[in-house]
Amino acid sequence: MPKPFLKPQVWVFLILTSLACFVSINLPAMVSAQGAARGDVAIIKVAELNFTLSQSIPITGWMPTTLPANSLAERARQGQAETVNAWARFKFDPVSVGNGRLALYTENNREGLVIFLNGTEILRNSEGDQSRVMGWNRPYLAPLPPSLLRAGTNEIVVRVSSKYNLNLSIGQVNIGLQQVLVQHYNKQYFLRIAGPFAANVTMLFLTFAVLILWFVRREEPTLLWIALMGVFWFIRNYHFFAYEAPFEARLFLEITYYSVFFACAATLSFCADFLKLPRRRVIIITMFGLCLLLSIGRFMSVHSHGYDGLYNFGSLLISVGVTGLMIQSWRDNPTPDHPLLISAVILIILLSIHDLGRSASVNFWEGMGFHAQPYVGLILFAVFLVSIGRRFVEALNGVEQANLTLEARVETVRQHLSDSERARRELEVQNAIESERERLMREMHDGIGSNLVTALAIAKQADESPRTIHTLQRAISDLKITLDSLAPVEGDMVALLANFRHRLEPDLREAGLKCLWKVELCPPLLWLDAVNALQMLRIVQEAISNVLAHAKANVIEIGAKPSQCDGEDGIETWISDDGIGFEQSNDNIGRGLGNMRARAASLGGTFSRVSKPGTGTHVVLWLPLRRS
Amino acid sequence: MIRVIIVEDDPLVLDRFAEVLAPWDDLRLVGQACTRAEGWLVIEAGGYDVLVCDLGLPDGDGTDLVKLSTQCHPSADIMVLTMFADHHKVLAAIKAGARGYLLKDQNLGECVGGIREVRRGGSPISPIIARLLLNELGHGQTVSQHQIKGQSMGDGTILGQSVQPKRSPIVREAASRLTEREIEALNLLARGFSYLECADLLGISAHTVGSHVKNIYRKLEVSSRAEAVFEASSLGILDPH
Repeated sequence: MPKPFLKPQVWVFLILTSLACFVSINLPAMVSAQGAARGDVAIIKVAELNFTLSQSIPITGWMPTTLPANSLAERARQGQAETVNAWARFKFDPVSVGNGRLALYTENNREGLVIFLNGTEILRNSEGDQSRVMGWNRPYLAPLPPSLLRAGTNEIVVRVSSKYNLNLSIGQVNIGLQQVLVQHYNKQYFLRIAGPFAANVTMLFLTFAVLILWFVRREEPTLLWIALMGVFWFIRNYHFFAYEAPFEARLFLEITYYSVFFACAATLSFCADFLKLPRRRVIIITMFGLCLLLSIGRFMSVHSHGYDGLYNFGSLLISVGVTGLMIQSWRDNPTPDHPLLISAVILIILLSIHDLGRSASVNFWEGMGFHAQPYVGLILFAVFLVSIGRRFVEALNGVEQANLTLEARVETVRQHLSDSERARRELEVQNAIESERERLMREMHDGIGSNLVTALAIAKQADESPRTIHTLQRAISDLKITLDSLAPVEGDMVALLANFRHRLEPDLREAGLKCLWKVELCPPLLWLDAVNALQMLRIVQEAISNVLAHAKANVIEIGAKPSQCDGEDGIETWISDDGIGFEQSNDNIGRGLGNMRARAASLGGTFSRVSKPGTGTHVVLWLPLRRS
Repeated sequence: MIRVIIVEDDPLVLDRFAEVLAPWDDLRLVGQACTRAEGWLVIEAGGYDVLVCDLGLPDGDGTDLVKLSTQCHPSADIMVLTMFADHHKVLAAIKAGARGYLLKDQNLGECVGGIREVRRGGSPISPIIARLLLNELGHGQTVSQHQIKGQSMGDGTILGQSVQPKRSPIVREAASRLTEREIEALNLLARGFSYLECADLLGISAHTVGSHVKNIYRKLEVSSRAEAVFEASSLGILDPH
């Protein structure tokens, strides 16, 4: 399991921290935008308004007003056609503002703007009233040339102009020390124009990159959703930083307004698909259905009462709903992507509320002093990139891990292979030895064996001495047990013992010995190979031939059972007879005993013999189950 | 009347064999051969009930004669003559179709009993061969079975399944045809109990034990033939159609 790139909590922390940084950086801008009166900046509140349609400063028709003066279009349209304009004028004394070079700062003017100082034009953002200039979000800074300033009262006149079907407003005007206002202007310019421009161009670039990625990997619909999201947000955000409408201004603004619904639907579709929400197809289809409904609703509202009816709140509500689904999915099936995307969406919802609050139609507050919406798309892309990065790192870790695992596995397999190869070779050698031994034994069996048998037959016929016959018989018997020791009985000692009894049966019968067979189920002696088996059989052979030769017994009991010796598991084999027994001190038999003991010891076992004259003989061979 | 033929290269054994059979009215030696080639003709000619065959003939392997007899005269019983009943040769002979073996090193007089027994439907077996048969037919004992302590001698039932060697499915199938009773008998025989002791422990007659063994021999023959066919067909030697 590769370790996650970063824990979800860390992500949340990072996002909150960066949000805090963002807000604190912009705090001064927000404060000054709130219009706190400062000694070096005068915020103009009191002014006079005039709706005379002209290019030069009207002389008459001035009425008192306060600044900023929003939504002037309605009033301006009375008596004006095709283009509408409005004038504002106010007076100020440079001395009251401060000592130094002065400047004028203004924002939120719709749309064309001309500023006069004491009757001389000092700023103009457009050529003529037919231009498509977009002045509403753009801050303007006009230095007040000292040559135009008079001692005492000076007059500033502001003219705004718009196309007939657009809004008309005169925004906030500040007069103050140029060095102070430049700072304010730069901040505002960055937050309103340069920042959104950079953010959206970057987003557009990323969108194309993702789109190409999607063409390569069609099976990842998430890529398509994020690309769509990027396109819609770019369309939506273009008007924030555009100097001019790219085409007919009214149409451009309409597209701008409606695209927010689609951007929202694409965003939520991306969220649903990215987090693999259950029933995400339904969610996505619903999103686009609702976005169409909101568009139609807004269209009808605007065309019937000329008011957009706050349909943007609709998208907000939908976003909140989808966020709920995302949180649900986080609980059910948490991934590191969940907290990341959920916090991003919550942040976006908060920013949207902020923006709605400062929109012209609600006009509840100034908020941070600029619209945050242009940054929304990039925030989402950032989440996507972080997640992709995390997955990339995980994939790399995974591959490395897989490689390590694979190498380890290959090493293990190689080891096994070489082990088994070695074992196979050993087995081959062993098999070769075994089969060669078997072949030799069989040769002996066929050749020497048949000769021995013939010799025995001849000896018997010729009435040779019992010693000759006995020796021949013994040779034959030896050959037989050698043969048996080669049988592949897998350490089944009982089978070897049994075969010996089976071979001995005619001799026992001949000797008139009754055999009691007392073997129990015994575990195999896994160490009992041919050589050891022969050793074991020789001990038994010796014991039984002693009985046959010397004991004069009527009954011989042969048995085997599992038994412990000094706490060690093993098999006990015993041979008892009811014969005459013998003195333990009998040298002849004693030598045989030493032989048998030595054989038993070489097998890791023990051998004992108990006998007394008149009570028969009892021999016990104990062999261990396992040999170290 | 049991008609016997013998294929044996050792004239001494041949003579003894004839001598041994001579006194009995129910046994008659109807043919003999000293080489594989002669044996082939005698067997093809037929007209016998029991074939006694040496395996180490000067001009070839007696096992071929066993196979020939099995093919030509399936109703005749085959006993191989062996010096010491070495498991290797006996197993090969049984697979070829033999139903018993006679030991050359013992009193050949015992052959009479052996021949009569095999005709009556019984076969001799040694513990090692019994043990090897259990393995061969997939009923070998495992260590775990040995570890069941205090099992009475007479029980003899094989508990559970053993770790079986890899075999062709046909052989498995044939091997599985050993009956419960046959397995019990084989187990006791492998542990060295004589036919009589076995019979006592199983509560059947000694003769039945012998016929169990004969049946087991036949099954081994069938399964080894099946295995040969399987191996041949899996090697592509035989066309299965």
